[in-house]
Amino acid sequence: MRNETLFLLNSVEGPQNYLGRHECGRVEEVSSISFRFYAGIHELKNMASHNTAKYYSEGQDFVVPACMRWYGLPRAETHEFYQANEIMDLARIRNINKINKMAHFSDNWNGTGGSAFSRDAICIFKHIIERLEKQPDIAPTGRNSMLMQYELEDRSLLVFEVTENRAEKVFIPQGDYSMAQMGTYTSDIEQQINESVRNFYGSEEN
Amino acid sequence: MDPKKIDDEEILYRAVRKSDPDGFISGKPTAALFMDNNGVSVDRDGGRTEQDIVSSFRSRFGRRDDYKTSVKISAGECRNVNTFPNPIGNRKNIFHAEIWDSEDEKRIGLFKAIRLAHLCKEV
Repeated sequence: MRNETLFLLNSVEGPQNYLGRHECGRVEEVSSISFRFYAGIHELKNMASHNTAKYYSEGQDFVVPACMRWYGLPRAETHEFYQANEIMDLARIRNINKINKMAHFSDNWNGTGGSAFSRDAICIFKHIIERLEKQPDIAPTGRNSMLMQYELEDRSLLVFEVTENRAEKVFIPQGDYSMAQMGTYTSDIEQQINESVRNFYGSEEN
Repeated sequence: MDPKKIDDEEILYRAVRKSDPDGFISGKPTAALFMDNNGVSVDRDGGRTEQDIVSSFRSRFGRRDDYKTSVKISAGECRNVNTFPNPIGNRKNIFHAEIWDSEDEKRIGLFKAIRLAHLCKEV
């Protein structure tokens, strides 16, 4: 029986709140806890069905991890979402899983006439999410588009509505709607979104 | 309730289904709740209690028990963000109304949808 070790991290930049083996209060079987929800159930099911995977958690004050680093994974058992000793962006996995669910919505999925998503739209959404440097919160709309949202603690908001062939952008600084800035991207959409997000978080640091 | 006119004080309710898993982000309604192709369907309060309105939503979603929650916003708040509450009604539901982007445009733009989400409250 092989053992692999997962460490749950709260920063994609590095293990800032990493808990060492001697600090963690307990070790749980992956299959016995709700952690699978955070990492994407189908990913850990694949692993848990073949191995005994153990992880370290914070115990009582568990925080949703932003990423997961996997040590000791046999090279032969890699997956599209992770490689041995690499950091897996859980937010990206969560968003891809949401889009996969959206792909199965039928007409009137929201009870108010919301339209089903076209195959092209779903492909575009996945393409963009996979190339974003920082993952947003996403939500399906009733008009074949996807809402992407970033928010700072100062109530600044950066929102995109992504359709098959364009992205609308709204930036609201510090909750002040009178200062809202709007734009539209019709080409190099993921690059333009990445640049907007860099500027958005860069303004927080300034 | 005047079938042809919605007063500013009237409250408009929009149901959120369990099958709409991401209507809320961090516990707050998202703009996505107000982004449909042909205006946003709502129910006017029509002098009813909130309990009666929620009950009507629950019965509308039938046996599947797909009702999750509702959000509400006043017609005056809708007008304050330059959207158009339309007392459109229909044969099945006299309380039915729609929120449009303007009197001439059904599809609510992203910015106005964000503002509506900011103003609305969960029931």
